[in-house]
Amino acid sequence: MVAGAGAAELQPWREGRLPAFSLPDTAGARAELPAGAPVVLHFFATWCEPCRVEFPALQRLAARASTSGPLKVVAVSVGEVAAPVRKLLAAVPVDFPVLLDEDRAVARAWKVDTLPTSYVLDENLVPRLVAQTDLAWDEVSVESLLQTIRAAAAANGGTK
Amino acid sequence: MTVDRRNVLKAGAAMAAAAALPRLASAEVAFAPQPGAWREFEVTTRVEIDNRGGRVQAWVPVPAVNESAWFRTLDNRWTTNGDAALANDTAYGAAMVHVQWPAAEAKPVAEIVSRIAVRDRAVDLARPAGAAPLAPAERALWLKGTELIPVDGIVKETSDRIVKGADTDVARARAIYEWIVDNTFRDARVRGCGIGDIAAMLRSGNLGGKCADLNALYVGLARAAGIPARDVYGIRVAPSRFGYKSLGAGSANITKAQHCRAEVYLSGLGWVPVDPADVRKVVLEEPPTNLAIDDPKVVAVRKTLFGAWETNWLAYNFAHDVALPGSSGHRVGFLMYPQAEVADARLDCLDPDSFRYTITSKELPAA
Repeated sequence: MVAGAGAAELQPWREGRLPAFSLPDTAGARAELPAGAPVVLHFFATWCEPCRVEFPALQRLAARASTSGPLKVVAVSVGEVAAPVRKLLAAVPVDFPVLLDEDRAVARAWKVDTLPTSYVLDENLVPRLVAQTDLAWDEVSVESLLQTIRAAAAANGGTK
Repeated sequence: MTVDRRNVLKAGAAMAAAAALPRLASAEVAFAPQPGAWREFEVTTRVEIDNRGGRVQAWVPVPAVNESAWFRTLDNRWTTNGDAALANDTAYGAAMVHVQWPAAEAKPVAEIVSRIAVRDRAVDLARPAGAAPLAPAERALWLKGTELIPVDGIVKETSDRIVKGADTDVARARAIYEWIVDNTFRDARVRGCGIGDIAAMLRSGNLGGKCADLNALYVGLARAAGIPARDVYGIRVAPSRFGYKSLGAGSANITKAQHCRAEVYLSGLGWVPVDPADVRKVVLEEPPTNLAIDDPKVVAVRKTLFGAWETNWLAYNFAHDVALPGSSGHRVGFLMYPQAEVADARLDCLDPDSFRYTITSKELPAA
């Protein structure tokens, strides 16, 4: 168990760093992954039912992390235009950045085969854990997730 | 013994009726399209866009397929309060009506009317008709990988496994068809969703999907086996005449009836129609739904959809990775739905209620 019962699907990621990217949000403003703190990078689509169930739990995780952090959440909508994502955000407002990978180039570079897929990156943006399914984020403890990331980073030697 | 003449007459009428029916599959379920009379349809696509600011563009697919045995594009006409022109994709010849409106137009609207003639297809796989081989450039086009349909890596490995031991292209093409029918599915217990490219489907092991996934998988596996293959993107325009509720348009409103099919080019036979995705659709949706794979209704379509199509359907194009002229946005993997942009932002083509478009179909009286 990595960080609570809900994180049982999180597996170690051993393939090292994945390509940096810059993507627009639903207003067209481009953003990159925020460095300096571990990041939950979540790939999803609005038409994907398990993704829709998971989305509000990610917001609760982000809210918990804002007090017990440092942990940031970034979501990437895969293969969709802005309109359905805006509609989702109107129904489920979130504080974290939601970016658009319309042509799936980032999902492909990040080896995303199924939605949702979540990576947990260390503060140097090296992926350390991956879940290629939906997760019960409400059962994930931020503290133990951060501990796991630190241990994985130490075991694999920094910013490989 | 006396003979009741009325019964003899009734029996004779029944035999005549049976002879007129297509051949019967097991348990009296018939699904046997045969090339017969041509049917004409008029399909109308009406697009309405709320302009909340900025220039507006729309790209509406229109049929560009002309195949002497089964499909004729008769004409495409349009009316609009914008500037419209017919545009073609240069690689595959897909056609679309490209409409542009200035930022000052608050209510952009366009109506496109296409007339087509179609007839059912059935290829006798045992009797090659002497079709000429594809020209080298065309053969190369229908063998190469695309953005959504790579033909190397896991696609090639899977294809090699499926066709192992099959010694002709017909046997290889059929082995892939049977594999798709046997191995793909739609299962509510699968928690994850596909991302719409076939290599990702195979890597994830989630082989659930709809026509654009399953028939694309067929095309990719066939191309990887060295057999030219292509997706044919289109829309159902009429109910099935074989009584299959799941294989036809349920009403004149066909806004959500898009369906893509596949073809393989087999030596001597030419383009052969296949549609493994429709076999899975019958399994899932044909009343009473969730049919067993050995249900007579499934068996009948499975037997037929390698080599035949009921053409209650309009074929738009064979195109992949289509660039929309005048757009700075991404290419579309295929052009089966109307597309539009307001202020250069692409609208959601799968949500015809927010990006309002309706597609209706009517059969025209036989000429």
